[in-house]
Amino acid sequence: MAAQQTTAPRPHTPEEVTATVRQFISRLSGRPGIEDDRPLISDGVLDSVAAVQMVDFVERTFDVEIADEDLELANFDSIRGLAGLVNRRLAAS
Amino acid sequence: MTGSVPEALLAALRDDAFTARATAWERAGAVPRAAIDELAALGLLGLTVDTAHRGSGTPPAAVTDVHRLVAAASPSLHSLLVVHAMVCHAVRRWASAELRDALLPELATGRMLAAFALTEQQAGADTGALTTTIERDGDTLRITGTKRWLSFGQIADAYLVFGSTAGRGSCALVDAGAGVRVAVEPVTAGLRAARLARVTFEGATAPAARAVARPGIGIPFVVTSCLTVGRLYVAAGAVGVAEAALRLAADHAATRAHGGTTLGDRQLVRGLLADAALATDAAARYVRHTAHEIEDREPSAAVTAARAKLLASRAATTATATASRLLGAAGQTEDHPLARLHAAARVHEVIEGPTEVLQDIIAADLLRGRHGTTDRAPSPAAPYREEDDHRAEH
Repeated sequence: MAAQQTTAPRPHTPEEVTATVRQFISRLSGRPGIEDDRPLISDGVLDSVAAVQMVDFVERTFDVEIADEDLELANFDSIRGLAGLVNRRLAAS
Repeated sequence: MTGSVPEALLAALRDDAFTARATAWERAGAVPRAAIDELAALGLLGLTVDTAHRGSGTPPAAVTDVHRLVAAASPSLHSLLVVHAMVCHAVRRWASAELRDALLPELATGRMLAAFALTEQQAGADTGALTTTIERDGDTLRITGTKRWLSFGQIADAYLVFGSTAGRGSCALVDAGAGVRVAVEPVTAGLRAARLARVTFEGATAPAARAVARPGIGIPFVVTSCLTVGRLYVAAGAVGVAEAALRLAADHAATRAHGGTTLGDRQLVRGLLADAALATDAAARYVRHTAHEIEDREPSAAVTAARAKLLASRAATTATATASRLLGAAGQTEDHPLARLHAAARVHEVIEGPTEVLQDIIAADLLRGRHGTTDRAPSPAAPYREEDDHRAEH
């Protein structure tokens, strides 16, 4: 299955976070080279099942908890948004 | 979650008296609220809620055992367990801390019975086609729309309503009462006693704090993660139905005299039993596997749950068809336990995503990455698109 790798070592730098998110979204969507700002959900790049997989992936991989105030579509709708969210959470922990 | 199923609850569900009562509910066409309250007092509705919020914090795999027991006796009561677990999941996973603290104890103890208000006349799995609106006006939400076939919608105290807010998919927990009109749905085979309702929200209001996550998150995130959990528990119920049908079939085959021997000595009969037993066992094991994936927050869990539901509902269909064939006329009477199991298996193939929708999800997962040339991948349950909501509002 496309979405099974969850054992990536925990990255620390913002660049590593972005690279890991980019790699996962590419695998999840089945499309390499998606631009960091491309809307993933509102543009239909990811279907609803993949969208939920994405949340579980970032929480598990980076060991961060997505809190209620993070649940804005903008935080999940692009590679940049998601990586930004993870980096903010990592910085806060 | 490290708790276990409360002993008193297990004892009550394993008692023959429970099966007898469940039969009476199906005959009467209604699981009474008093019976639900009684089982809720033993912890039936708090299994998936953590102990800090007055649940038992039972891990999903152990919860599926309860679903198997309940569905084998009462497919109708089982449907309440499924919808209630989906609402508990939505609140636990996606609601604000304040809402969690306020509502989870109410849900866990059964003081608040909640229905899952997603399906509409023209929309279910296709969430982009929902027409219900959840408008925000200051500190108030205003809900307008009609939901169909809600399990226990007739007696629910609250509804987790899915719709759109300013064009974005959203959801909110709305109390029964003013502005909420409840009508009884026609009797449905397989869910005869499930108190199915058509519920119309006529500008019903709820505090804005009752929104579960923000617009744009309610759909697709909340609804999909609820359906993942719902599919696990429907699959568990289907396993319970398959196991019960298999028991009936095997008992009958072992004892029914046929031409100087028993039915079970016939090779064709043994072939039917073997197929049904294998399908049932495979589904049971896959359901446990799925429960562990969900507990471990595996990203693949959403697809695995779709597979589990498909596999288990088919096992239930196979096992009930086998039992039906072996029991002959005796098993066809309306009041026979097998008739209930058979009807339940048909329902399990439809609820929380019919077989074809699940096949779509499973195949889409397989095909991802193999559609090199298309910009928009074929997608199963209609991806959320803003234009859908705009279209739905007109």
